[in-house]
Amino acid sequence: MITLALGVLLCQAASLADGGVGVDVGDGALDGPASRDAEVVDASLPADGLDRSVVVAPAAAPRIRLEGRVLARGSRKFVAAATIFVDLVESPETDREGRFEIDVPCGKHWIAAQAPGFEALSVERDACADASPLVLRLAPRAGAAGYQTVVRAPTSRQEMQLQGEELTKTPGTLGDPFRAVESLPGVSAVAWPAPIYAVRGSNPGNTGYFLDDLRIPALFHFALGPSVIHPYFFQDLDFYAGGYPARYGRYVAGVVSAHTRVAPDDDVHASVDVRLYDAGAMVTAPLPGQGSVAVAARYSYTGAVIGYLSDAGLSLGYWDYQVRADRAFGRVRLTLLAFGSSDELQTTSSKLALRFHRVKVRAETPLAGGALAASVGVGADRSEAPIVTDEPITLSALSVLPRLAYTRATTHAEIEAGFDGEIERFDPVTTLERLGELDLGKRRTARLLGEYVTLNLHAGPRLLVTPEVRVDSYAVSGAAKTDVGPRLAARLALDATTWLKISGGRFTQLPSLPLQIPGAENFGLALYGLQSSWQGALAVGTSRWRGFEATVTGYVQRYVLTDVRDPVVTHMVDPLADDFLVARDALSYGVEVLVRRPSTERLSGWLSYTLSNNERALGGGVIGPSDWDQRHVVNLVLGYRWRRYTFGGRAHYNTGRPVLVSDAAGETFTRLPDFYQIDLRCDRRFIFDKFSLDGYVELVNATFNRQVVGLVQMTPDAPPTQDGYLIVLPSIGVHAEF
Amino acid sequence: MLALALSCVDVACLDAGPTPVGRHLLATAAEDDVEFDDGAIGAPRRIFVSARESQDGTFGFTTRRLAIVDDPGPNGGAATSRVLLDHAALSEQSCFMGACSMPVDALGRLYVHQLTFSPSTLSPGGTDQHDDLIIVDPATGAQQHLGPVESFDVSPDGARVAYLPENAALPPPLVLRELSGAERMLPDRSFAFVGSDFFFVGDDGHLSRLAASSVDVEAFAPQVDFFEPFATQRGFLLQLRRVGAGDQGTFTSSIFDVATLTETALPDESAAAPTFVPSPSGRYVATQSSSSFIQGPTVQLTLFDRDTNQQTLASEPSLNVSSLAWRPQHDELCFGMNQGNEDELWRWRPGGTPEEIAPGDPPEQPPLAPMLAQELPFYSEPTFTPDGAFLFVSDRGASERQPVALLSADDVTAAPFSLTPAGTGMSGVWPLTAGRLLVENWITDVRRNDIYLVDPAARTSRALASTGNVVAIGRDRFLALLHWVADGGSGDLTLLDYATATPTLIAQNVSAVAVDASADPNDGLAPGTRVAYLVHDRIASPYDGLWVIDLP
Repeated sequence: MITLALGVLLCQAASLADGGVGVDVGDGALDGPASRDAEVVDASLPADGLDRSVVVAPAAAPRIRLEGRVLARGSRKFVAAATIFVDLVESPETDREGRFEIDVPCGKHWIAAQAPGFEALSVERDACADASPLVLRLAPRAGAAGYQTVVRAPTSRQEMQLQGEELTKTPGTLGDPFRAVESLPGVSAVAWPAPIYAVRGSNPGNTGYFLDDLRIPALFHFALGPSVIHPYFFQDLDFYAGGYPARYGRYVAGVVSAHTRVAPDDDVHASVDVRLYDAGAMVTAPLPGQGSVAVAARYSYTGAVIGYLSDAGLSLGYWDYQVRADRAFGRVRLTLLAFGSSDELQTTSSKLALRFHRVKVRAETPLAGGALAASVGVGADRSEAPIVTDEPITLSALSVLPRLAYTRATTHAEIEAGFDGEIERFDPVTTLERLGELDLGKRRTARLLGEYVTLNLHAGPRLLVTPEVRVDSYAVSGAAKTDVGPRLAARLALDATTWLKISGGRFTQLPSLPLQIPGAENFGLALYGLQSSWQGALAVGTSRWRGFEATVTGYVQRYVLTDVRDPVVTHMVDPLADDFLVARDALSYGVEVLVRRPSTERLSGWLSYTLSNNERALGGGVIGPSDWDQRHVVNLVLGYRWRRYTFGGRAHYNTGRPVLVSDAAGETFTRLPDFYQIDLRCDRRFIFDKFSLDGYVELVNATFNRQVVGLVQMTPDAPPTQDGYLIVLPSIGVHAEF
Repeated sequence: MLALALSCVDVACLDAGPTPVGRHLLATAAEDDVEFDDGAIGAPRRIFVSARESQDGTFGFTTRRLAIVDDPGPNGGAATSRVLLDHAALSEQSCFMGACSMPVDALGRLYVHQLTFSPSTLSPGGTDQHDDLIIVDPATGAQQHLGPVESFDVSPDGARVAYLPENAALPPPLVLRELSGAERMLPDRSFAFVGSDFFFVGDDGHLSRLAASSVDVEAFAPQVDFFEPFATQRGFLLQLRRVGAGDQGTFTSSIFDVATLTETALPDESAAAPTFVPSPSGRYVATQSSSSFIQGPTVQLTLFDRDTNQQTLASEPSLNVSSLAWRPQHDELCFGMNQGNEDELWRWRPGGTPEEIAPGDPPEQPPLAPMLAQELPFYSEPTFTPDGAFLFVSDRGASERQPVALLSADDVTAAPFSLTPAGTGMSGVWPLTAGRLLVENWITDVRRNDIYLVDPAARTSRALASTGNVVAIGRDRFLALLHWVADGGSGDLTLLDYATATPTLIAQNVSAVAVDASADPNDGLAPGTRVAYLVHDRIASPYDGLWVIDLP
């Protein structure tokens, strides 16, 4: 450490000798009641060279306490655990608020600070001559990731985690963390750029999206809009293509679990985003006493623009908001999470609107050597859409979402037990009085409850086994079913760099529409029964090659799914009819390959390849491909940091989905054309003393390729013509943060 | 591993759906229609299938390939089909989905139009269609060409066929052909089979008859220009029309009673009226005429009592009668009338005067045109239930899916009984026993209906099924194609009973159904009744083709 500190001093001394390199440090003051006027420190120090004039004060000199603080340059964030050196001698690290106190002898001394991810900085100070607090602003290291990777212990799961810049700067995502999912193995983006993702051959509605364990009823805004959660609200995102933990339930395919970040409690911070399509802001602030709060919101002006340009009476608009507050009361830590979203698309003849709100309060406290976490959420959903041209329906729902979990760790095991529930009241309003047992358009109550136990067993240094069981009870409109879902995940370390993982189990879900629509959930239990899946996966992975991690996964998923009965819907559909959906057997199997280089590296990204076969029992003795079946999907995502720039690119390729075309012999499946695209993105960070500015330019589908979504035949015998669109999404925006 | 193994257990066990019930006679998806038709007298009925043909020379018109199915029975081996005729014009003879039959004579021979096309000689760029009438013997496949024929009619007993050849000579002669092939040329003035007798207007203007099995012409009323038969409880009545001298636009009507072979003159007002509607009993004849619009839209209604030879006349300048209909099983005339923007229903009981009974309107068509023979037609207005107890009324202006209600014909002050829940429209009505009705209501597609069992007298309506259309009704149960998929033109053939609505699935993806004659005249779907159906999955299926089931 001393060697390192010496190097820093040597570098800075040389820099001074060269006339200095501009490292901006502005005026500042220490915050808090104990703050005093701070000295402005010019951190412009030589980048190399040696100043040999450093003199260590005589030991007999009087001593004085030097107070200071280490901040990240370009923001007002404290740098915790930064190492402080006084004339090459290591002193205690900064506390969680970046503060340090050192007793130093009077006279000039080199005070240096060093922290991972930052350029080291030293200044000369005579604390006796200048007793003001010392503020050191560390510049983030050029080319380094702008965040710290949270390294987790190996798990038995087969999830893929995205964090940091992977969430907000993955090319092709327009900065939306949830869109990054489409580049992961096991995922088919079935009608790009619509954010509709089919995971391992299931329907898009069979994959659940959770934010801090709270189910999100809709992920994205209309009309290629962004996700309903502000991207900088995310801490990380876990994607389970299958075999997700028992703490989650009620989905038969995968789960995407995102977590929000705790707002910093050091100071008020704010960020502003202005993009081509919308503008948003996030403010975080400490709560009085302790704790913090984060508030984010976004508004789209695309609707106003479209409305202005359109002479067809088209109106489009969306907004969303998010709030998170954290505070401890004694041993109890409380978290409030609230988020909501609204979309409205109106023409002269119809209106389509989706709106939802979620509020959750979570309390966590130590208990009996473990931790008890209890939460209750409430939700309100409202969707409005025409069933047929002249018959609107409004789907309203109110929900209560309790969750309780107890976790405890021992030397060889961790256990988690708990339950989660959804009690939801649906009040659809329609002018139609119709038959059918489908209760989607009828007033109903759903009571869903899941209890689970998860055991993480460390069976020796190489084997981690996670047996789980989840019991789900469903009661909707008077019908009730209970299902026991055993699950198992295990990780066997073959050596220090290679491992095997298996996972599998049974999963259930209420009947669902192919796509998730707020308020159009939890129905049809009596008519269709439960959707279900038996999942199994075997993966082998290695990090044998430095900086890379490679995984190959084989999987089999056997489903019973609710599908749209008519595979090609060209006439007016009636989603409230009891035969709009049908329960079908389905089978999906395939191989997924992932080669990944973490975003902490200068060159980062991943290569994913999915080979899958997805079959449906279509009835009438016919086994056919799933509507979403893309046999080959390849994604290459790369990012490269150079100085303050980040260059990114994404190449995507998928084979076409099956569609039906008719000829004289009847209808047969044929494949849509293959599709590929390249997305490009460039970010530039400008760092100022107290704030930073990120500017970016992104071009999605830079290859200008046309997405074909169907084949159209004017008559049954006519040759099919391609139905599709060419969409190129340019985006330019700035993100300011202080 | 356990999970993986569990997953693998079921890999090969995808449930591809239930196998159709019955015998798989033909494994081909080419045919899209099936029907039962009579054989020769005393012989069993036969199954015919047909497929669309579109080939060179048809100029875009679609014709059909007609084939007979030779079914050796459950234990007789594989069934086969034989093509009988290409380019048949079956749609002109057989009703939708085989509910009607091809014309068949007493020898079991089919009378079918065969279409040929040629470039038009009169309209350059156009197409001329030629309709040749072919007699096809399904037993042997033998064909007999009668040449281009404008229209034809086979007598109910199958002993004769009358046809009008296309001929440059004007007017074309009428040909009456016997089973033996003997043909008699008759004038083409006016003709019809009345029962099995053949009536026509002879060259001398006499109403004439060739009675069944007779070769002798009987002459009755003279100077007849045109006649039209009506069936009543007293037998057939013929309205005879004689064109006024010097004025082709006026005529005089009289009544000819086929049972007594007598003619009855009508009073002047009734005789001159263009609308002529005998009552169900045959006792009364209602007529309607309009005065010149120059003098105002005065409408004149008459009731002529054949028993008393008395005419009652109702004339009112404000009357704007839209239609006339007799209440079934009652001698009670009803008619719709438009008063300004209001539609009203009126009735006229013999001996009384016309009276308004309700605001309202008979339901419009389509979609109320019956698709199958057993359905209640709405061709006459106002429309009653078959027992005459209730009137169908509607609010036509409400929406595309007009609400329909039943109005008591005896107590018009009683509240109407709605047949269409909010937002739905009525697409079909099937009369059942004891005055009950099977009602089909639609929302997005007239083939995807909610199906209700309605008891108008008890004012009850019970849901039986949804998302389909009724194919046939029986005394205790009905056949429906549920889960109808418009794009595929098929549904799940399901048997449902009225009492419990319990569905019994027969087959999925059924595109056409034909029901054979039932052994029980009071139950069209009695146990043992043969039902033939075509499975036509949108995607080629091992179940595609013709199936036959004897109803359980």
